[in-house]
Amino acid sequence: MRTDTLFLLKFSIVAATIATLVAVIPAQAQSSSPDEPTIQLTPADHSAAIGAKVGVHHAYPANNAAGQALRARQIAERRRMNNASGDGNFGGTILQYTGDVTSLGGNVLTSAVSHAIYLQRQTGSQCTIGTCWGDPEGFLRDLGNSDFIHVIDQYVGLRDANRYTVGFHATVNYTPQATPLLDSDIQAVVHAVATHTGASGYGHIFHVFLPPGQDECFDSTLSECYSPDNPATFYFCAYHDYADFPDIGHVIYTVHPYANLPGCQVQPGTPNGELVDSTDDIVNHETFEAITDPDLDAWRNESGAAYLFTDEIADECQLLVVLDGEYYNDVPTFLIGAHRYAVQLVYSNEQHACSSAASKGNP
Amino acid sequence: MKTSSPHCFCTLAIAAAVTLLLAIPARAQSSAPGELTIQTTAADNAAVLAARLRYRHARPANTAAGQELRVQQTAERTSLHNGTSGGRESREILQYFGDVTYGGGQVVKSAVSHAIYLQPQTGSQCTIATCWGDPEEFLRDLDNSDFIHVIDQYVWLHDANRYTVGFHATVNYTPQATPLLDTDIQAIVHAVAAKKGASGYGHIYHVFLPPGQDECFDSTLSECYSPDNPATFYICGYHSSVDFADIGHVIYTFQPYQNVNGCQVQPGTPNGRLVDSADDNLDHELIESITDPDGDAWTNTSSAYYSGAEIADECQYYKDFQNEYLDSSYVPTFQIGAHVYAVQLVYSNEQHACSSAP
Repeated sequence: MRTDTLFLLKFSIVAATIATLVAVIPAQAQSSSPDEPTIQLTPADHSAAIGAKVGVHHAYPANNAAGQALRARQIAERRRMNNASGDGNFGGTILQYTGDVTSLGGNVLTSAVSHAIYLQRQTGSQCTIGTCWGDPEGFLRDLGNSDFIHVIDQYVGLRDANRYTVGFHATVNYTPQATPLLDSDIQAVVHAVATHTGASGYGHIFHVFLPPGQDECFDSTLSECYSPDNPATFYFCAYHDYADFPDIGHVIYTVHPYANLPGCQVQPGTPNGELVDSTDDIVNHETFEAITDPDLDAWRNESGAAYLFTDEIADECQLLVVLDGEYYNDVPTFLIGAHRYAVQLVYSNEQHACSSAASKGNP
Repeated sequence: MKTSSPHCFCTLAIAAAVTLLLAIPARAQSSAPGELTIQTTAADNAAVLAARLRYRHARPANTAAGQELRVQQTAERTSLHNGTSGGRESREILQYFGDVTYGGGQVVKSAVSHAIYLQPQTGSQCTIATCWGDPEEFLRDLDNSDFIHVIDQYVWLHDANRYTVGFHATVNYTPQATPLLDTDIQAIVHAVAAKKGASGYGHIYHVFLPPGQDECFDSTLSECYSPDNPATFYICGYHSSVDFADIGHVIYTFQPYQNVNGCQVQPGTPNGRLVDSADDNLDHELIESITDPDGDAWTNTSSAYYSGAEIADECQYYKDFQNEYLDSSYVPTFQIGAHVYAVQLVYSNEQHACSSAP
């Protein structure tokens, strides 16, 4: 699926930015090493993105007015029949745990390999992985070796160790445009990498990292975006989603714009610094949800609780703090694998709480 | 506080209150010691103009507009707090995102509830039973229940019979083409409280509106109880507090007709939808009036979704019985005092859950 040819394609408006990505890919070796490919998008990637059946983005709302509006809209759009608890008890105390999630029967990821995809500007300021995002792959490795990851054993029905590992990472060079990237651009990037590596299906999660200053929107209406420079459309900090490509099938991906800014970042004073912990906090959030609700039809809050309806296990555990008038994600610091991180917890039905480790009795 | 002068050319904000004044019949104000018929006066309207609204917390309707209100309330009330983060190295951290925190404000350690029923002077009327069921009996049962003691943890008392029922009053009025406003409700509350000399944190007034009577927060008519106008149908009820210059602090709850899509409980509840819907909203607003009367006591200050919520807000469940957007409140059935009711639970920090008993 690779080609060295530079393409100038005239697609629909949806594909316009994708064409930009294609046109600016340098004529360089596509892979610097087997585990670190530099990927070039092709017309097939764009066509695949256009032809793909995509899910409904599950967004991580920004901590601002637009993000609150997105939170409400997600709840409103996704209400459905449910069975709440607690009816008809004439005897002892009734307790309702509003945070408990239920499965709608969809797939979960019983194991998966995470692959990082870093978008790098072809022109202008660049940064290393360390200065742009910290070490998200290091975090994912620690997460895979932690007690924390076993909170989700209850949702996937397995308790084995080392089910969630880290694979390759890829770099995609591009020339930024005046308009934001679109989700269809992200899908084209994911398609290119997945095709190049032959990695698709429920065993792989692609994490796409955007550099500082790069906005992204759900679609060409440019109405719901990661856009710190435009508060009116700054709705989300990240999201997870899936796409069914006609050629390579089902692909699960998460999108990670630059997280170290107001509306997305964690509180100051975390052990690895705000850049690293803000990035890892959101990687953590989206990874857990991609595992337990990859197609938006598995584990979520279907109880009918007014404020939590359709929330996934990481959504419910987002805590906020206001410091000097700015919202921050209020995250605890704890040991994950070999290192200490400041990232949010995830909801455990077994403990009826946001938790950092499986309940006692689980390995 | 009464006056026989029927005419008052006041601001738009009190126009409906003037209507109330004009429509009151010339009859005895009290038909029995516990049953007042009250007439709002120019002094009540003036008291409202001079009053300071301390706090108002609405129960959003189960509508698109209500969802907007929920978001707005959350955004407005997220405030500085000390989170649970930082430095813990123990093997397991548990966070209960529903837990509420104390902001230092007043709580109502004990109180007498008083029901105020608005009755249209013209057109169809209904009895208390056919309009609202028996809210006062529900309040008596609540006072004698295990359920009320869920809130002991928030008011630091465990004694029985702290939340009793006092008198009730009837206010006759002529409905207008425009909705009532919150200032009208305050004028009514002022009239009753002044007449009875009952104000302060020891009294809670519950103002019941008859079927078909809309009400809005203010004269913009933008956020209302208005089942006939979905675009402005934001609220099913609210609790509030106001400081009057003459009689001081007064706590009241607003109880419009609940047995409508967007406010009612699910079908099949033991006392019927009219009764259980009215009691469900009364339960919600009363308990929040006790634990957060002025908006500065017990609220959730940490959760991205719950921030600003009070202990009844967190335990609202919805279920779609209509196959349309207007959902029903989905409430459990359980014993409260001497009877079985279908009303929502309230959040207990001690149990980290919505609970029917401590």
